[in-house]
Amino acid sequence: MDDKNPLPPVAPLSTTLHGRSMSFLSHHRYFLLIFLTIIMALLMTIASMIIYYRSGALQLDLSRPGYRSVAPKVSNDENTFSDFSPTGPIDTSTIKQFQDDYKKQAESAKEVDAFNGDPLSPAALGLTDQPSSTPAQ
Amino acid sequence: MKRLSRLVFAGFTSLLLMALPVSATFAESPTLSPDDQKYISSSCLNIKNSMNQLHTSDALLRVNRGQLYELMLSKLMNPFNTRLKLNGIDNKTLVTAATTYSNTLNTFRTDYQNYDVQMTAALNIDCTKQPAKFYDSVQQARTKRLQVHADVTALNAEIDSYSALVDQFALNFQSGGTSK
Repeated sequence: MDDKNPLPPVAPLSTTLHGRSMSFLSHHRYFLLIFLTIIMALLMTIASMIIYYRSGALQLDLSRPGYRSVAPKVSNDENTFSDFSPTGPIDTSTIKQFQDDYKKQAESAKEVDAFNGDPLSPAALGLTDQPSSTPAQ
Repeated sequence: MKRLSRLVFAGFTSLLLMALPVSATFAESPTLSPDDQKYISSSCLNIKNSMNQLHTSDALLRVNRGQLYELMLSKLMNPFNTRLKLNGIDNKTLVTAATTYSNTLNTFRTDYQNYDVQMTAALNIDCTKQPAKFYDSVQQARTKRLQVHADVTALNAEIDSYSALVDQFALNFQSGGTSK
């Protein structure tokens, strides 16, 4: 039996590439933790802003600058709106009750002809000095 | 190497020169005379003030009206349809009417969003420097606002339509003609 080791000598772990990268990670682990946290926070913020813009939440957000003056005018109809129960029996009085509630709320929903008129027309905005140059509709 | 960079530079310059007249042509509004452009530039501040006021009041209108339209669906139409279904009563026409209403409500949301985006884009244009571009952008916002009004009219018509169907259903129910 030969007592000598037949395998070539192995370099110490710290001098290998893997060892070096492990050493780098262990030396800078706090920096990396902070860096990755910031990156994650940035990504989450970007994602939430994209959702905010694309979902239509932006248009409903009256806490934005320029809209705060009208924010107190938001009506809280949800509390006063008639709520019809989806469970229970159906009889003539139930249907009558629904008809009354529905007609009352329908009148409320239709009482304002929202977005009517043409306030963005050149004449309304005063975009043109000469009314004749207004494009035909 | 120098020759290559010169060639690249010359190529970019010629492309830019070719593109400039095209973009200038697009910037010109076919419906706006030079006098009107001067007029917009001079009264830019007043026009933008009016537009800002309209934008703000429209946002409030969107929130308040939108809330009512959604409540009509979530607190009345859907619960009534569910109750009929749970009682084993045929309510296909009412479900169809509620679905149509829901689709129109979605269209209203999308169209308002498009209008708001276009209005914001128009307000971001410097009308003292780019009156023609501003004018075109305002006209696009105008078209989109008219579309929002059309959606509101459609929603109101569908609210009436659902009401008429409920009245018809009530008559059938009283006469015992409602199928289970």
